[in-house]
Amino acid sequence: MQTILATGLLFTTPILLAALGGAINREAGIVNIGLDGMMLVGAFIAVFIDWKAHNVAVACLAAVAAGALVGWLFALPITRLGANEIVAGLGLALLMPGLFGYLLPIYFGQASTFDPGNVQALGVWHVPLLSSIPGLGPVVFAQDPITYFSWLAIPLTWFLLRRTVLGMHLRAAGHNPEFAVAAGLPLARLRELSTAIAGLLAGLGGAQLALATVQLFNKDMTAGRGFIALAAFYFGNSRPFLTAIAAFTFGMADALSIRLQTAGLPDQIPEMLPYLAVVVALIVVALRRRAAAGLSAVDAVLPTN
Amino acid sequence: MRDPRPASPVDTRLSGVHRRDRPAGGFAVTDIWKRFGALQVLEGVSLAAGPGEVHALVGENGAGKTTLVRILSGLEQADAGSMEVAGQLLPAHPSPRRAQEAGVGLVPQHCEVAPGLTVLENLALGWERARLGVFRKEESESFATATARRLGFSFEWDAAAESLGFAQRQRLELLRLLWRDSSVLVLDEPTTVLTVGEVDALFGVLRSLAAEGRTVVLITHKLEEVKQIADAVTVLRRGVVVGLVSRAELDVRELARLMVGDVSTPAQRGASTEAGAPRLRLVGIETRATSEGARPLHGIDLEVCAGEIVGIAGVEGNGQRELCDVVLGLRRATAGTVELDDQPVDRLSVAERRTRGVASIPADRMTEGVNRDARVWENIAAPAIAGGRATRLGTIRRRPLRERARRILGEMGVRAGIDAPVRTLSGGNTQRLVVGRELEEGPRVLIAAHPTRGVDVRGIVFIHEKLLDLRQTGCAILLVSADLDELSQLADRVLVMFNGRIVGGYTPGELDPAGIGMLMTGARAA
Amino acid sequence: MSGVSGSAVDAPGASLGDAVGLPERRRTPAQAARGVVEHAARALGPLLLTLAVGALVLAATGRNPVSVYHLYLLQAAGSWPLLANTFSAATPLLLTGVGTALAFRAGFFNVGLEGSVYIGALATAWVGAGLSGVSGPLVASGALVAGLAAGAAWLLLPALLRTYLAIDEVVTTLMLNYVAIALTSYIVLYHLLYQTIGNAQTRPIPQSVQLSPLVPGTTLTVAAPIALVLVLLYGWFLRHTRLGVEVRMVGDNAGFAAAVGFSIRRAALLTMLVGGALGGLAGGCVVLGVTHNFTSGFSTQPGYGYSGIAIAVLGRNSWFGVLLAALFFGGLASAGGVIQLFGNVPIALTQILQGTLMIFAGVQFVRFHRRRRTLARGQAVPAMREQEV
Repeated sequence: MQTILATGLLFTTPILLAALGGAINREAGIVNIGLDGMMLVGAFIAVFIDWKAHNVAVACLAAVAAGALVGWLFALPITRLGANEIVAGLGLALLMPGLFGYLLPIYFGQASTFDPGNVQALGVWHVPLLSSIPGLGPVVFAQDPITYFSWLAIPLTWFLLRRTVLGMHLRAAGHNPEFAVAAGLPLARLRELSTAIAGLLAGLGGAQLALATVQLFNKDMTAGRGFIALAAFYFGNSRPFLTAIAAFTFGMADALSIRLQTAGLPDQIPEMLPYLAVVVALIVVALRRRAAAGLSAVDAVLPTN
Repeated sequence: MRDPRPASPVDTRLSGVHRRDRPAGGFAVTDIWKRFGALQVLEGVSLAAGPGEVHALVGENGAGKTTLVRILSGLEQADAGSMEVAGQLLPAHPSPRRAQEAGVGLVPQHCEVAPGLTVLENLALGWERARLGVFRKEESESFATATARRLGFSFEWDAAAESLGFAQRQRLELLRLLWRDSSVLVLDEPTTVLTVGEVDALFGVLRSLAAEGRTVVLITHKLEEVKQIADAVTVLRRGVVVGLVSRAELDVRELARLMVGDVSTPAQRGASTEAGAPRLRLVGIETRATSEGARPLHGIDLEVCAGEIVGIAGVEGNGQRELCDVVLGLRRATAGTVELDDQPVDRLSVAERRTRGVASIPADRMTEGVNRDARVWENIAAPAIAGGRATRLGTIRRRPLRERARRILGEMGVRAGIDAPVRTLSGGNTQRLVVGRELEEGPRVLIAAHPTRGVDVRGIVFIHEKLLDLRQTGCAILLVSADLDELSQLADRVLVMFNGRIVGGYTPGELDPAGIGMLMTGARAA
Repeated sequence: MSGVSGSAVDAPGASLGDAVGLPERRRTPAQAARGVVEHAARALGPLLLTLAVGALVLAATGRNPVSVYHLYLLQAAGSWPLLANTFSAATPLLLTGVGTALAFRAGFFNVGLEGSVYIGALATAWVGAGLSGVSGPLVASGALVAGLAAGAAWLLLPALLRTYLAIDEVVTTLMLNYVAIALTSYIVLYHLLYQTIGNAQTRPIPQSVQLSPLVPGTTLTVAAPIALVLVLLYGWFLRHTRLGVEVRMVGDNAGFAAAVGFSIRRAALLTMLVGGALGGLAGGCVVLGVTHNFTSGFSTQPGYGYSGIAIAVLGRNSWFGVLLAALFFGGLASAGGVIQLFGNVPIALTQILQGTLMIFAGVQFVRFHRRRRTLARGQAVPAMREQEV
């Protein structure tokens, strides 16, 4: 049980970070489907820099910077040239593995994996006092620093969106762009910034993905986590705490799936879970909205035709 | 990360007192030229007003008033000309932000808010009081409350901004101008959505703001308002200044003449025919409010007979739109019935009702009346296509539809090709297209909502004649209008709506404007 | 609809002469010419940008872009058999492209064809391999119909959710894609498994049921002309049928469409279900004509459905644009394998090009696109998607 929880928390981190980034991005008006690609970049840069510099902290910073850069570049066609954000996101999620699939053979002679060896792992910190709590202590409070940061990122995201001026501007840019422009806000730059933040967080998630457990890079290693993060922030309607809960649920489901498989449950079922959960959540919200307005589910406000 | 705070120092607006370093009010735009494509919208227009002055800018539709103030606020760029505010020359093409920082504030005709934010956040957006990027909520709130109280406004700062109604949004917009310490306040047709009492309150506020030394520019086409509040008036006609009049020399008839260019005769009403059988009947109609802000209807009972024009008077936003939607079938009532020729039609779709002879000239012609991306003939043919009246085995018969479109354009005096995209048509021509289309199939019931809004004088006469002709043929017409003159000229009787109810009615000529106004503002039920 | 376009009263473009019904200005030759150039720029822009990015990547890694692109071109269209393979690769893309474009044209952002492709493919494989003792072509037709139906049925839920509960179809269809992939994978593994070579596979389709190549040695089957006909049909449909006009009107201006009597609901259901059907058909064609079974995860990198989205956007929802874009994508896919062999370029380059093309797919170079409002300093406001039924 405890190992499942530990694994679940570990798995949750990249999803959580990407989901929070996606939430911020969505609040500013861009649905980021390319989180997967940004995570992948972070993973690669983390491994690469760690190998070169023998320093995990530097590697993580580099991953963050790389993610932010990719995020910003990705935003430019959308904000400045009118590219379609959905298609562009799908394109980015395709482009990144393609790019690595192209560069790895050329520069490292490998088809899809980059495993230089000698890569420092992201160590585990035991939080003093808390990690001594019997039962959960050693499980919950013995995680890598990025995981701790990801937990911190939840209230930080809330604070950013709700209490800072920047957050207000981002939300205005997302909810009523014309109004925001009339108020003098730099719409394009705000959206680019929010995408850079999303890339930053996703990149960090990628770094954790690569360095916490395997210390290598594979061009398919994100395995759709970016899309699970998408499901998480859709489920949470871009609210940080709800998004975090969704991310955690999906992370736990991932951890459980291996266990469940040995018990006979096909792993496709937990695989479907995040996506079905989103659809169900949307239905519930819509039904509740109707009920609150006193209408039957299928009726009244919609035009008769 | 770019600092979103304004470049100028933030904290001098501590008590709402005018900033010391900016001289109060006054502006001048000089020799402004602006062209949109092939159309010269402004030709060498100059406009100036001093501190403490309330200046009215009047003109017909298409005269260029809104374009001029949009240029002043940085939302459009002039092709030539210069602008100065409080004695300081503005750069050639100021951004909206730059214009705001110089002291120009615009309250647009349709005030919008940012939905995801609270009222307070909306107020402060872009001009926040912040420390290290963190929004100083309490301080902002107290300042906002103080400023609002000065004007007689009150808001719930933490409420969702989208819950504000039209009048409140306008007040918030005005408050926003003060928040930014604007010295030049421009209001574009602010009274269209206000009741008479609210207009008086607004003018009181404007006068006190002017008394502080600010400049107020009021765009309006209502000459009575000009008389009420303006110190000076600039008249625009077709992009050119044709008159600059001070308060002392003000004469409404003269102003009207300047605006229009010549006097036109209103449509003559034919001898009133005996109203026939009831064609349209609403019994006990109730609808709900919606998240989009629809006004709920309560207990609507009305009847329109063949050959009768029933007017609906009332300030916009009191349920008229919802009423029209219910008749056409765009909105389902939660109680009551709609009857056409004594048959209940509640279950019928829009297409089915149209097949039964219902036609509609919508209030919002640009968004609901036409498909601007489609061609003229497609727009004209749309109801017929939708109703399956122009198809054979599911395919449409283009040639007869095109012929018909050509004919209708001719009848309506629109000289445009049937293949032209509608967005290339002028507003007046678009409205003629809509009217022609709706009238062409000889409707039994016509819902006409503000049929001549935004149309020039000649077009108004034309459309009025068409409506009266239609009445002669026995059509039942429901005429919604904010123009009491139009109603008195056309309607056989008028019902007044307020807050989703029919609060009274009158026969044109029977009730004086004051009495009507009181019905419209709910001050008295007849 | 997005907010009021400024004051309806002083709308720019108001002709001064309209009071007396003066004729509207005709476009000058210069204006018309500019229109053509803008149109071409809009269509070619994404392509040129993509080629530029690809060239950059190639050059930065020491390859010659011109020779690589030349190789692509040769391999895609250098000879009849190669061209046939390009058409064959383009066939499912034509179908998903049209299926997606149809919904986009009506204003519904249906991105769920990838799921329909999977579901339809599985249905086709199941029917195609399941029935025996019946004539081949009959089974093939039945299998394709099964694919059509299954693909449409898969999108029924999102279509209903959108129509009756106003739930954003982008999310629902997108999510269901992943559900479809997992679901079909599960069904194959646990119920229809025949063998596993890399991925789980169903029983192979008998020879008599398979779609036979029109050109020997290629994978070009009768599916290709069928797809082409459907593309042409799409164009005809929009222009000449009542339902097609409805789709266009609802897509251009839903408020107007409703007011004149068109049915937004019908447009939603029609376009999403037909789109799903076309996606299912695409999957079925691949099964019957190319893979001859259903292989788990067969529609990857970038996926027929996802490519269809890019194709619809690139082609601006027009039949001709979709045709060209599908051919281009098909050529890229079909030629991809060769450049690795002959050009010493990792095959992943194709993915780079496809991904980049998708990123730039919707790029507009013309600033005054009619659906956007340009405010100060030419700062384009990206159109937020808004739909209210």
